Amino acid sequence: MTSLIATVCVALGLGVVVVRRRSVALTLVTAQSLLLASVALWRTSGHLELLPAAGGLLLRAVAIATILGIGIARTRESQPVRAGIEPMARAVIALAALLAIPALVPSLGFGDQNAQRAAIALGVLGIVIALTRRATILQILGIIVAENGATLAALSASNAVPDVIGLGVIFDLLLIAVVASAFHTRIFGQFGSGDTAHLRELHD
Amino acid sequence: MTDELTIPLTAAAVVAPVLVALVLQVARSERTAHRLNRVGAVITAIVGLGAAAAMLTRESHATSWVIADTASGIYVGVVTVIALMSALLSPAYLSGAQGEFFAARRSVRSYYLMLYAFWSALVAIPVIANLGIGLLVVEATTAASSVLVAFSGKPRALEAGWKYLILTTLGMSLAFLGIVIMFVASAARGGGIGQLDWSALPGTLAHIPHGAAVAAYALVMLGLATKIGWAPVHNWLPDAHSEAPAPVSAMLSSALLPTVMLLAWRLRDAASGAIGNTAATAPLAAFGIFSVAVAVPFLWQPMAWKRLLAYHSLEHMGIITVGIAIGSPLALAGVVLHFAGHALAKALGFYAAIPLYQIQPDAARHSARDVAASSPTTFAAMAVCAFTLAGLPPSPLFFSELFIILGGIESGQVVLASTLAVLIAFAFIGLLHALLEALQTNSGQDSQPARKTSEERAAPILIPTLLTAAALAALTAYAWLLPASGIVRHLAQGIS
Repeated sequence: MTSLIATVCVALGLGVVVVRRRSVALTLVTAQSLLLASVALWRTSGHLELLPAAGGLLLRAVAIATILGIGIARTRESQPVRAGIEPMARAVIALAALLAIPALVPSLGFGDQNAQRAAIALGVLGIVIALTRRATILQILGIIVAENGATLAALSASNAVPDVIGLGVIFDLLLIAVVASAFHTRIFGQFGSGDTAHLRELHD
Repeated sequence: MTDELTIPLTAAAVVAPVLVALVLQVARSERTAHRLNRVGAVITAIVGLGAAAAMLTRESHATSWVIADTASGIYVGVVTVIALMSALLSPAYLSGAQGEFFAARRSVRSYYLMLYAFWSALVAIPVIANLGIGLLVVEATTAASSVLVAFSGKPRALEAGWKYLILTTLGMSLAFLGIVIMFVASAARGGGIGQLDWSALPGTLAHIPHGAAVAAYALVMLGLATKIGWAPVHNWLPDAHSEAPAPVSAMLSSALLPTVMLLAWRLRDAASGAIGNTAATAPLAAFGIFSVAVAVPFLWQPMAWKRLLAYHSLEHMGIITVGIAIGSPLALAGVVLHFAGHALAKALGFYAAIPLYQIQPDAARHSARDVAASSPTTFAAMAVCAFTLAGLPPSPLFFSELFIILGGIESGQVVLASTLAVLIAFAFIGLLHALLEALQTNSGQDSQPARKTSEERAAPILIPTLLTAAALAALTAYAWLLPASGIVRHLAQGIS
């Protein structure tokens, strides 16, 4: 895992924090997932035992892009769903969180400190995206960005994460993506928009 | 029954619900689906209870996939009873409800598919011998149960299901990051899935850098917290429990939350050596007390019956968590008793909502009134639930709370125990308030035919009410024997 790849992954995650259109955000997350899948595939040279997990990552990237892409195509918004927080403010929140990571997170045994920071950064960005964006699709993408943080961490390890866990996480994420996409379609059907601002009836 | 049969029986208890779910998909009519459900649920429960009995009566042992110990036996037994009752009462719920999340022609079959998938996962979680695989199954429960929460397809149900899906999945993402940190930090040990086996985990955590062990523990615990619904990461819990179909609410509250908590309990025991008992236990004590404290103000408010029960889930999960944190044999006796008593009483409370919402549709949004007058059976179920949850003697929860508090005092954790005692007292008064509201009557305005119709609607919960009351009485009787039993002795030795 080179510093450049880790940096690009974080930059793509940061892009999802600020962009307005769901399709652009999906493109960024798909690029991030494909980049990680490429790293995994590159690591398989001479280590064929890593092939199932690498293939799983590639399949995950393509499948999620397809599932969510179809979801977006079937639910055209008349105008982009506005987040409760303006893009600049979201970017400031995200950047502040990213800058705090080196100071707050101790060494966790990663050989590559950049990979450690990038993995934690993607986890944080995933949370920021899910909590500050209102469009259902973007909240799902927040989860995928956070999961990509765990993937990046796994790829930085000199030992491989066992296939049972690696493929299990991929399977679970695909399952969640299918269910979340079904929710998105029902929510759009109910309210005419995938804006979670409509989901504010329940409170005490 | 021989020891050799325990593992195959345990595996059968996990697989049986999946097979029933598949068989149900070939049902050509709703009536056939309901019949197959009844037969399938009983067979599945017999297998599950057989597995639980085997685990409780035989020596603990584990393979690389399955752990069959005392804790697994208790949890599989209780989960099976709750899932059986939920499956048997589902036809009563489905007869009075429309599910719009799925297409109408396959709505009932899809409901059963998700219900049995959920049942299978709930039985699997306590018997899986590996933390990583356990987390994968916890994550998989989200897919099935979130769809069940939103089954009605109404806006409120969609909101509850969506919130549950996003928050708990985000939490589990952090938990997986914690798992990866464990692998990365333990590269020198060579890796392998076996590192996360409950039996190997103490060694794995002990051989990685302290900071990495603490970070991994914190992330996994935080992920589990979102799924258990510990405060302050509990936002999804009241909404999901109140909007889900009543049989599903029962499974969420009585089975899912405590079962996921078992993973947190095993993890605490596994991590105590590596990061220190105080550091490993402090999050449990904090989450537990904070959950009870956050729940109490809501228990005083007039609110819809199921939503009130949801806040009680928050309170009772908090109490059980504090009991695990205290960890003395007496407190652990309280934990076991509280888990079983809460599960039975809370499930009955949710089942009471099936006739309640048919008789008083308004009760889905506001506190229930006139129930005693309009449907004595429904009121009886609500009363058994409320008196038990309030911890009034002879409720088993009176003894379990007493055991946990005395266990805390006995082990020198006086501040924790007394804080819990004060909070429980406040919660007690709040629940009685709700029950008194349900007793209020509009001076017998219900006509005789209306009352007859209400009682007909309540008929499906009559036998569950009687059985639950009997089971709760049996638990109270057993409470006297529990602290000195082999069950508590095994749990006190540690369950990782």
